[in-house]
This record gives sequence, C-alpha cells and structure tokens, in this order.
Amino acid sequence: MKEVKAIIASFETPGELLHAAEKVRDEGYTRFDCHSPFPIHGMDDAMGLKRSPLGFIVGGMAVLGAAVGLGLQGWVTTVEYPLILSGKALWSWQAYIIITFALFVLFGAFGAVFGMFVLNRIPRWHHPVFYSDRFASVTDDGFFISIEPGDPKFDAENTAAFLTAIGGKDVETIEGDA
Amino acid sequence: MSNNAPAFSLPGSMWKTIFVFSILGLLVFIVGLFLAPERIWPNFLINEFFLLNLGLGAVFFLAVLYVSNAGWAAAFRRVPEAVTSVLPVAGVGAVILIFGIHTLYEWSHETTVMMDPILRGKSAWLNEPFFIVRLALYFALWIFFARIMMKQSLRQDEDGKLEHTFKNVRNSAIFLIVGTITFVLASIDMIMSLQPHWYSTVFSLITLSGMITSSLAAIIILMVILRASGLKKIITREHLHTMSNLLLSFSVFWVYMWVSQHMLIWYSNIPEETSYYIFRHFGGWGSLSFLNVVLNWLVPFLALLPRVSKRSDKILLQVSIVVLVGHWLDLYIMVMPPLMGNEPTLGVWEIGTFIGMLALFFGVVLRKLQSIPLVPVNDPYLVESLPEEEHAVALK
Repeated sequence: MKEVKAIIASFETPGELLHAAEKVRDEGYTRFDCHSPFPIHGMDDAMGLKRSPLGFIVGGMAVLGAAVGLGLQGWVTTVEYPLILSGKALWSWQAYIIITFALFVLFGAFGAVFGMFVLNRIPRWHHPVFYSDRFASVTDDGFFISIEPGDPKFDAENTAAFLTAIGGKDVETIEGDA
Repeated sequence: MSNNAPAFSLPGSMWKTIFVFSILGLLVFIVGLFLAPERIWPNFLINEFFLLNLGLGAVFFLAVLYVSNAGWAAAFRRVPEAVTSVLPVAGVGAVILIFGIHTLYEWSHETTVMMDPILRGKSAWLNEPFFIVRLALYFALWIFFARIMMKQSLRQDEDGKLEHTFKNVRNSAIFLIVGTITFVLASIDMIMSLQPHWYSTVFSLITLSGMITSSLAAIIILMVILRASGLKKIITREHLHTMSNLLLSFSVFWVYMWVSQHMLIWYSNIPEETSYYIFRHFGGWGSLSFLNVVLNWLVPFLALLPRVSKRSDKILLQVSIVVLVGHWLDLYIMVMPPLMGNEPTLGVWEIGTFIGMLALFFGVVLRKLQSIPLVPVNDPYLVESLPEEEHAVALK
C-alpha cells in the first residue's frame, strides 16, 4: 500500500523561490519547507516562520547552570563540609565565580546544541523528499518547495495544481510505503 | 564626490547648549584650581583619561575593521573617524596635566622618593622628565595614526582609488601593535602610578576594555543622533544591532578582566597587592565598587540580551549613557581613593568637570561630522554595508 509522503516543486532562482514561498504562506499552508543551496535573505518572513525559541532555551539552561554551580559550591563549603581555608570566610563567593561562570557557559552550550536537535527533530535518518532523484540538485543549483500531508490544507491533487499555478516546475508527488 | 550625498547639521540651539556646558566645565576647572586644587586635579585626570579613551578607542575600532576586512561598518565609518578628532584636544589636556603632576603623583616629590626604597627602585621609570617625554610620545603616536588613517579615507572620497584602503589596512596593523603597547604603558603611567607601590598585570586590560566599551557607547550615541536627524536609511537598524552586540561583548570582557584582577588578589591575599582593594572595598568606596560592576556590566548585559533592545534607538541611547557614566565611575574609583582618603566625595568639582568634558567631546565630534562628507562614497565595502535600496548612494 502506497501513500503520498510529500509534494515537491522546483524553481529556477532564489527570487522565484522567495515569492513562491510568500504565496504558499498566504494560501494558508503551515507545514511546508523551502530548500536551497544557500540561505536566502528574507526567507523567514516569506515562509511566515516565527522566531526560534532557542534563545530562551539557551538562556534558561545558562541560568540553571550558574545556579547549580553556585549552589553546589556554596552548599558543600558552608553546610556539608565546612572548612576554613587560608582564613577566609566559609561563604567566599569570589572563589565560586570561575566554576559558576564555567557551568553557565557549559549549560548554555548544551542548551544550544541539544535544543537545536530537539527543535529540528534530529536525529532523523531519512526524509521522503530524498526519494526524488531530482532533489539531489538542492545542494548545487536547485530551489525546491515541499509540502507534506501533515498540513491541514493538504490535498494531493489540489496542492499539486496549486504549486504548478504559482510557477513551480516539475511538480512531483512522492509516494512511499504506508 | 556626489553632490547629493547626505549631510548632517545640528540645530543652533543644540550648539548653544553644548557651548554653554563646555564653558561651564572650563570655568569649574579654573575656579577649582584656586579653591580646591587637590580635588580638581584628580578630576582633571579622570576626564583627560576619559576623553583620550573615547578618541583612542575609536582608532582601535577602525583599525580592527580594516585589518579584518570588515564590510558591514563602511556606511557609518565617518562616525568613529570623527571621534578620533578629539585626540588632539586630549593632547592639549595632557600638556595641562603636566602642571598637576606634583598634586597627583607621589613619585614626583624628590624628598618622598629619597625616603622610600621602593620608589627609589622605580625612579628610573617614574621620574618627572621621563614621564613628560613618554606622554608626549604616546600622544604624538596616537594623533599621528588617527590623522593618517583619516587622511587616506578622505582622499579615497576624491579619487576613488583602492590603494587607500590597502594603505589603511597596513596602517591599522601597525597601529594595533603600537597603540596597544603605548596605551598599556599610558594607563600604568597616568593611573596605576597614583599608587606607586602597588602593581597589577591585568590593570591595563581593565582600562583597555573600559576604553573600547566607552568608545563604542559614544559611537552608538552619535549614530542615534545622526539617525534622529534623518539618516535612518544610511545608518540602519542592522548597524545598530551589530554595534550593540559589540558593546555587549566588550562589557562582558570588562567584567571578566575586573574579576580576574579582583579574584586573584583576593585569593592570594598578599599585603602589597591587597592594599589596592583595602581602600576600595569598605564604606562608601565599597558601595561604589559594587555600583561600578552594576553600571558597567549588569545593566548593559541584561538590557542588551533581548534582540528588541539591540534594535531600538531609545534603549540603546539609555544603555550607552549608563555605560559612559559607569566608565566615569570606574576611573573615579581608580583615581580618587589614594588622593581623597577614606570616603568618596561627589560635588560640583566632579559633576561640573565631567559634564564639561562630555560637552567638549560632543562639540568637537559633531563639528567634525558637519565638516566632512558623511558617507565614504568610494569605499569598496560601501555597497556591502548599505541596504539594497540605498545602493545608488554607493554607485554614484
């Protein structure tokens, strides 16, 4: 049993892709993607993408890291194993700064890398668009829009017709095992 | 040069305000010389060093842009170039400073040096004639480099030759070495030698990072002023965004250096090193040291983290003013304690001279901005730096 996995259409230039993306967005599609060999200025707006929440993930993780670093050192040296070192106070915040700062950065970096994985749904080993032979040119000179069935507005025939109408060439319906 | 290149002029009322405040600052200084010389000289040193920081920081900024082949800033490069024109003014200030040496520097009194074995050991470097020679050398080099870089840039406007850019890349590379060494020595001479027994190897990095931070803040304020006077299309939000990223990172660099000095001295706890912080960590000075970190790091850090504030003229203006006041406080805490004793004082001498210095700075720089073409029309990077719809300015 085969079912539709995605519909792709190719465009000639980055500019065409950008304007096609605007039309797809205006038509009400939300689960579609644009593929190009390089970043295109203004694409985020054209696709109607919101700002990535990654910054907040990084910020939250960084603050957590600083709290863990400061808290652990403070707790050990004042509560768990109080020890007077070179005549300094038990709560000597100056000495904690390095590790607090290091964990601030480390947790923030973890948040950035793994948060990016989660937001991009990585790892993912395969994607239906790779069934298309022509799609390989996306790493060289190809510009594609793909729309997937998960989109509420998706309809195999209408969507293909729509992509042709907005100037897409070689509209291809990709099917795979259900 | 194209005739329809954007120009800038400040309304006459603003000129009047700037003029009045600089005269006021000058008056405070002159009156202070007679009424409270022991208090006016430290204030003069703070403001002299501040003014030199603003000008020299802009030369560093330009030099880094050149050696890194940065294209993004070409559209507003005339702003840092104009800021460097305060260096000669700071040079005049350095001449005046010579008359205050005996009030400021312990090592300039021969009898004190004779009685003090440590100062005797340092007298080969810390003596009056050599100090004056060094000051002259520093300022001569700084003004020289600022001048030749500006000259090449302005010449390119006229003949459009690429070689000016290449020459400035070479000038910048030399300046980055010469400028760093001379500035490190100058902050040791002018500020650190106020407590001639004490030394710290990180000290000059604190003044260096403070210099770049305050200079970036001043450049941002000037960019906001230019934007408000109708240059929004040349000096774009993207430019402001990148500048505030730099301001944010150098503010973090400043606190990094500040903590490096503070923590290591606190940790090793050697009397000859802690003498610096004993003064500055208790009573009124302690609160001011805390406020220093808040103004120079915490406020810019928290305020500039969100993307929205990096793209807002108003917020950037406020943060930059906070950073400038913070830098003044940083220098105040460096200079005042050994000279003024146990409690900080804030009065007409401090505020008057600071406002006068700022008015002088903005007066000189804005005048320069009025007299030079605002956009380097023949710069090879200008196209890269302008938004697409303004490319015509570059292609004229």
